[in-house]
Amino acid sequence: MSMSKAKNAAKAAFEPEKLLPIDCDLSAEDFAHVGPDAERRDEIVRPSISYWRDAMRRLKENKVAVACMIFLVVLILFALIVPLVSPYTMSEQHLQHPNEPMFFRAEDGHMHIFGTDDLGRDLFMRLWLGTRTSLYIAVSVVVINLLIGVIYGALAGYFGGWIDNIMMRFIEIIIGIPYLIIVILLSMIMKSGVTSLIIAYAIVGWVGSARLTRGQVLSLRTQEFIIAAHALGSSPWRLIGSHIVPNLLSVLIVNLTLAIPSAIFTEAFLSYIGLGVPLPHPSLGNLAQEGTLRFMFYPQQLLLPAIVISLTMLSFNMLGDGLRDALDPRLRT
Amino acid sequence: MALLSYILKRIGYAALTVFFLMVLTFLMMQLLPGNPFLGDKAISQVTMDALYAKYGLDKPLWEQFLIYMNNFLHGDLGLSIKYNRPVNTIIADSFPYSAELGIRALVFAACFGVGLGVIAAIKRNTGWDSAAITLAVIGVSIPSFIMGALLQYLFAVKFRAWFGFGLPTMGWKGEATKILPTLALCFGTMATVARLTRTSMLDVLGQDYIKTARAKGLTDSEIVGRHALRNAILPVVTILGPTAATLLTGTFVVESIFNIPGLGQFFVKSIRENDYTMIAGTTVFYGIFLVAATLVVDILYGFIDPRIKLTGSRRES
Repeated sequence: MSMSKAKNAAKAAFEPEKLLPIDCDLSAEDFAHVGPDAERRDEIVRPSISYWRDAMRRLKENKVAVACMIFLVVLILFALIVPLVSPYTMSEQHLQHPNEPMFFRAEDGHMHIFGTDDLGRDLFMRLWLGTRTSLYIAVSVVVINLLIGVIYGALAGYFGGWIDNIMMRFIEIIIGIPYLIIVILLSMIMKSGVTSLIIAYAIVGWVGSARLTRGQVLSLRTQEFIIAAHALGSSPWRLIGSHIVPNLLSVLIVNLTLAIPSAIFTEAFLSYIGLGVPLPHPSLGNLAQEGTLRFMFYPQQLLLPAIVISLTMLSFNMLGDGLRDALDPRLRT
Repeated sequence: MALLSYILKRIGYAALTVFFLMVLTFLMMQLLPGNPFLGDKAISQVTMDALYAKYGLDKPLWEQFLIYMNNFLHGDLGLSIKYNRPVNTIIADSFPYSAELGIRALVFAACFGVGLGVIAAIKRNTGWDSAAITLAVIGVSIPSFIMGALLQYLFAVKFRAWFGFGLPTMGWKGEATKILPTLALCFGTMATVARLTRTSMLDVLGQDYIKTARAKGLTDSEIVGRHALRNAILPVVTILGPTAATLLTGTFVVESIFNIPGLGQFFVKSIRENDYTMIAGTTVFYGIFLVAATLVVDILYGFIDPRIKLTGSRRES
């Protein structure tokens, strides 16, 4: 009822004779039908949302992932800044104050926020320097592994045929050996230190990302845009670099985020059994190992590095899950 | 026929892997810094030469490798340099402890992991679900050596202070001493199993045959027990191979923390003591063990789930 009334009113309102003032000189002939504007018609009014912006929007909706990201940023800032501004150095010993509790204030007025260890070294400084070392190792290892793995996997998947066959047989053989055993062997023959730890891990750790990349490349290879680029005469390197790799990126970013916690774990494990970062340089594994020796009496010496290790691994895991949901909505469960 | 050629192919790869591992281990041993005979007292050159001759270290590299391979094929892993005992004997003495610990942890992780995953999937989006997921995520994020120390602190130190009794934290004698190491070792695996079970259970519960079963009027427990669970635990079998590796490396630290005389503790010790033959023997032993475990799991999976294509490469863990 009310709808038809409104329609009638609108009809009435558009009668030109009633709308125009009586003394107006305009008549219906003064108006012409312009027709659609060819240029304006194709104009996109709203800004187009790129894939990455779309993914960012989905990621922002995921509260847990955002919280993890914020936590990791704060953690990285602490790890970068605290060792620079701390009044102590990593190996500075205060033998008169061993195993002090948290928030201990020395006579000179400086506060040991996390207390000291058995040699009187400031644990606040050592914990954040250790976090920095562990993160540095984990990130470099993962990035190097990813680079090697992507190149290897992309080549195998791109060329296919017997090249792929040989490359994959090689992977089949070495994937059977648990990487931790090889890392243990390798870190024994090299002078112990951060660099050799990274090298040892990088020699064996690329296999997973190589297989992942190969699988993705194999499925991408048969898609039309690759065939088109090939038909237009792109070189293999151009095809891989500017068509295949960008399409792999989302999978690889997720893989990278989820590989970091396992790299942190490996570093901590190796340092724990005495093959990792050499003392007195702290790493999360070293600190946890020292903490276990005295945790019956000074539990905070184990709990602090344990909390940092666990929260860091947790955050990277949750962020990785969030990124996977954001970057590939098809996988969302 | 396809199954047979698949099995043969997998065995071939496994043999190649073991050979590769042996070459690698052998070369590593040659490159190791340090000298096993450099102890607390100085040794004259003559004695050193005699020692090198005794352990065959004076021969050319390829000859040493052939001797090593020959001995290995006869089931002899050499003599431990530090303990002056055959590596075989040490492994035979200590591996049963590690195996018992590992099997206990595996059984515990499988039972509780599957249980947690099923509960989380059935009670999806409830408090049960979030509790199970939280537990699983925490389990994945805490390394076993930290878990071990925390358990020791909580159940031995704190319990003794609160209730006047606690669990023993050292050794491997009697059931009470086995509780904490098993818990410490199994927690991560349990979490992984729980996550996987939940995902696959949710997948199965959405299938048509579950609707059919429900339409026939079966009770919830019948549906879960008879139709859903059987299909949902199939993917869990696939992670048993990688799990063997996780548990095995876990024993290195858990045995050290709880002072269990297993092979893991020996391995860590021999690394610190540059005991060449012991490390080589143990590594090869571990390698063969894991390759065999993965092989058995993969072949079993072909029987359990006929849907998978046997010609494909190994599943991602």
